[in-house]
Amino acid sequence: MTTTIEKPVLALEEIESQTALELPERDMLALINVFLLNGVNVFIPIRNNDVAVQVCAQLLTNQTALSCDVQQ
Amino acid sequence: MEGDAGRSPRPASTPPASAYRMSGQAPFEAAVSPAVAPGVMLVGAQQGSGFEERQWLVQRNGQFLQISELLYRVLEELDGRRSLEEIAARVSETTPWSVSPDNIGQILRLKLIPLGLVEGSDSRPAAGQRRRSPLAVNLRIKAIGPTVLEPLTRVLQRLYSPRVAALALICIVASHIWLYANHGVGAAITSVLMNSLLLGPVLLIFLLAAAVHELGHASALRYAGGVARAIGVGVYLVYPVFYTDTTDAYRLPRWSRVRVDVGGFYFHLIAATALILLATATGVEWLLFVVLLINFDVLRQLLLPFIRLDGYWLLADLTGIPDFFSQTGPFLRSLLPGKRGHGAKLPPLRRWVKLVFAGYVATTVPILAFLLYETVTKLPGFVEVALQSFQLHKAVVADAFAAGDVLTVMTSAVQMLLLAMPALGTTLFVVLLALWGARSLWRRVPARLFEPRARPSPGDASTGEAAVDGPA
Repeated sequence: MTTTIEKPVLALEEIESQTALELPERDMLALINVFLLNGVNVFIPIRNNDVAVQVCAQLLTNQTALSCDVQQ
Repeated sequence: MEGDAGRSPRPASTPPASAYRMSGQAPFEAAVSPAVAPGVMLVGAQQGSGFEERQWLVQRNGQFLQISELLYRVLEELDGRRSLEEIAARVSETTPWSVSPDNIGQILRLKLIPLGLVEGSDSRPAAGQRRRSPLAVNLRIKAIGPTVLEPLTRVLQRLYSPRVAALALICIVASHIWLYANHGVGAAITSVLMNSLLLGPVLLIFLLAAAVHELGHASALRYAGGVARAIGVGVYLVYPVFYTDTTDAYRLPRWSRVRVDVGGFYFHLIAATALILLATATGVEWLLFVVLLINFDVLRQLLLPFIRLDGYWLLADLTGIPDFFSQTGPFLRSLLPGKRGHGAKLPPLRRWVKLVFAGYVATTVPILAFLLYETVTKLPGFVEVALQSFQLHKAVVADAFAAGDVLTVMTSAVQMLLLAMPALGTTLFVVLLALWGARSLWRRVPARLFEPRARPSPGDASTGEAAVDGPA
């Protein structure tokens, strides 16, 4: 004896629930970093005038790219 | 999150069947022997998927679509010769349903034709069109195409053979342990900070290493049997980027996709190791500063899965979710009970994948919202500072030009360009975002509001265009 299992009829609701999703392009990225160190200002307040003068003197005589501003 | 697919994805939903039922007749003259549309290719089952039910992949003019098994089984039978009856009989054999010819007609009308996968009398070009997204790479310029990439990656893919990879990883780990635990990078940092002329070569080598990073992705794809479509430059959000189009990776198994994702890190670290060796051999300390930058870049790529950097795709492939951004909307709609929520819903996810996706949305949406707020509110000030700096450099260029100082002219010109890029990128991003938002709103305006009030004739009932509901 053979038994036949009938498959369920495909309903409209089932068709409506079928999904289709568009996938994006897979772009693998590498950020192009830009480090601009020119124009960077670092303020280091020195309260002791004697020390400040010494620091400025060192900077000025060593010809570095750093600048020094003494304010009273 | 993203909806504008163009370059980016969008979940495609289709018009409700009720629209057709009300019209009382089919919206198009069903072809007796329907065929898949030109440019459509059946790819097969999605491998390593995070969905409970198997998902299937098709390509439409190069773009991948993830579709359900029933839709795929129907597409398989459309050879341009079989009738609807024959197709229905064959689909009944390969699916758990008893499918009638009418069902096949409905599937064609409601799903496959609006998606542009099957040719139909009312299929619209819009179904296959791609639109630009603010969350995709914009202003793309292809630098290397597949014809150049193929021979290049054919050689470089050997770096992924297990023995070579093991040796390379040992060298990477050993050289970095030596650098950070033994030698240190303090001297390298000081040498660059104290000599601004080194910034040029540092930047140049760093950019070259980024290009090597991209070759790592392309070579990993080639190793797995895929093809990278292009390497190029563009703008992502507000940043200039190198990109490698590895879309072909969708059809790969999970761990092959993961290899493509980490391939950039792998090549980047090989480049860093080579620089460490070079610095050791030559005593040129500042080369180690580039290694430091590369290491920071790798960490940033890995630890920021909130935007489409490598860590994003890595997380996506580990979980088996093809793309978080484009599937956020359908995912949220799928959490709504019953039939609530207009638009496509995501098929059921595995439990742990669902938890990861929910956690991702819960953390990413506030972060991106905050970044967007910061970007928009800070843009005027940002542009103003950039303009001031631009004017400063312009004066320097003029003086240097008059004095015949070519080096200063060139360096200042490069700095002006570098200053302009973030400002232009940010402005472009805000404009694209505004356009995308306006388009999204416009699409939600019912078309009938703009049509003359005429009684529709029975013959013009077709509105088969796929409703595109982008996930923001």
